[in-house]
Amino acid sequence: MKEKKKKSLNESNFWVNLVLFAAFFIVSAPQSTGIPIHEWLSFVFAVPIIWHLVLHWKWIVKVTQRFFKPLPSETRFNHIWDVLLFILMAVVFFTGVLVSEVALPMMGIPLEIDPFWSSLHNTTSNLLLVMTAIHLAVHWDWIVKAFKRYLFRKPVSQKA
Amino acid sequence: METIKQILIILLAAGLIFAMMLPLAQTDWADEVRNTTEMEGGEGGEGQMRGDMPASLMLIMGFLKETIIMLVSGVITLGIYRLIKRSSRRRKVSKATG
Ligand code: HEM
Ligand code: HEM
Repeated sequence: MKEKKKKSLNESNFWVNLVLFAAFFIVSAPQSTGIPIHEWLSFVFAVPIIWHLVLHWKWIVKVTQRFFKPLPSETRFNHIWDVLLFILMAVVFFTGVLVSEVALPMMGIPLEIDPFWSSLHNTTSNLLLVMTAIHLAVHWDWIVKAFKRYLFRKPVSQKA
Repeated sequence: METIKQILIILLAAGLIFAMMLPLAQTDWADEVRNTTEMEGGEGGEGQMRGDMPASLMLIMGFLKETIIMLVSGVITLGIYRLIKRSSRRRKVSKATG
């Protein structure tokens, strides 16, 4: 029963991560999608991000509690990186809201756009691309195994 | 119930970051950024290029730019990550064999 639960949690992780990646990829290319899609999808994108964090809640709490105790360096790095990623994601999201050209005016909140927030949104969103790529690279083995197991239904070693 | 609590904590943490970010607009650094973007005659970013490019090219360029940034940083990280892992494994083996 426990094994089954663990497995399904991993499988839900995989599907949430897939949706998360697709949404992130589209949101991060406003030149391609146009600003309206960019803005509305960014709001929707908050859902898989929060879901992603809820699915890893136990890990976050456990590693935070043990942070000043001995930990594998990889786990420590991931924790620090995930915190930085969260801060940057929040900054990108809120600076985005502050420079909204479509969504907020449509909700009846016209904004006077401050070039400072605009410049900060551009810089931090580009930095977020690099930081997310690093987040994905350190989980590359997991990604390859999860694709094999859940999408191509191939047998892989249990340690994923 | 547990999940709702977790979501609230996440939203609270994001809200705190937002509150800490807002005063940045009043700093000298913000003024400097405003002056520079004014001198450049735009809001920065690729917005300026938008006008001179056909739509089909814009469609590809946005995704291409992001793919290149993510691939380059991801591949470099993966290389460094594998090197670190290999050297720490070797250290462990040499410790074990004396
Ligand atoms: C606010 C930004 C994000 C935060 C705070 C965050 C946090 C986390 C945490 C806590 C973990 C598990 C612990 C660990 O690092 O090993 C994790 C794993 C992972 N994240 Fe993220 N993440 C973020 C964004 C993303 C995005 C945008 C993607 C995909 C494009 C992504 C893909 C993954 C993958 C593939 C894993 C490993 C597999 C898994 O256990 O689910 N993350 N992330
Ligand atoms: C966390 C999600 C978000 C990500 C990853 C993101 C990413 C980006 C990127 C990569 C750019 C182009 C930067 C450049 O030109 O180099 C951009 C521009 C823009 N974003 Fe976002 N954004 C997000 C959220 C939002 C939100 C929530 C809004 C508004 C509701 C928004 C509004 C805008 C606008 C109006 C621009 C054009 C600004 C300009 O050209 O100066 N963004 N965003």
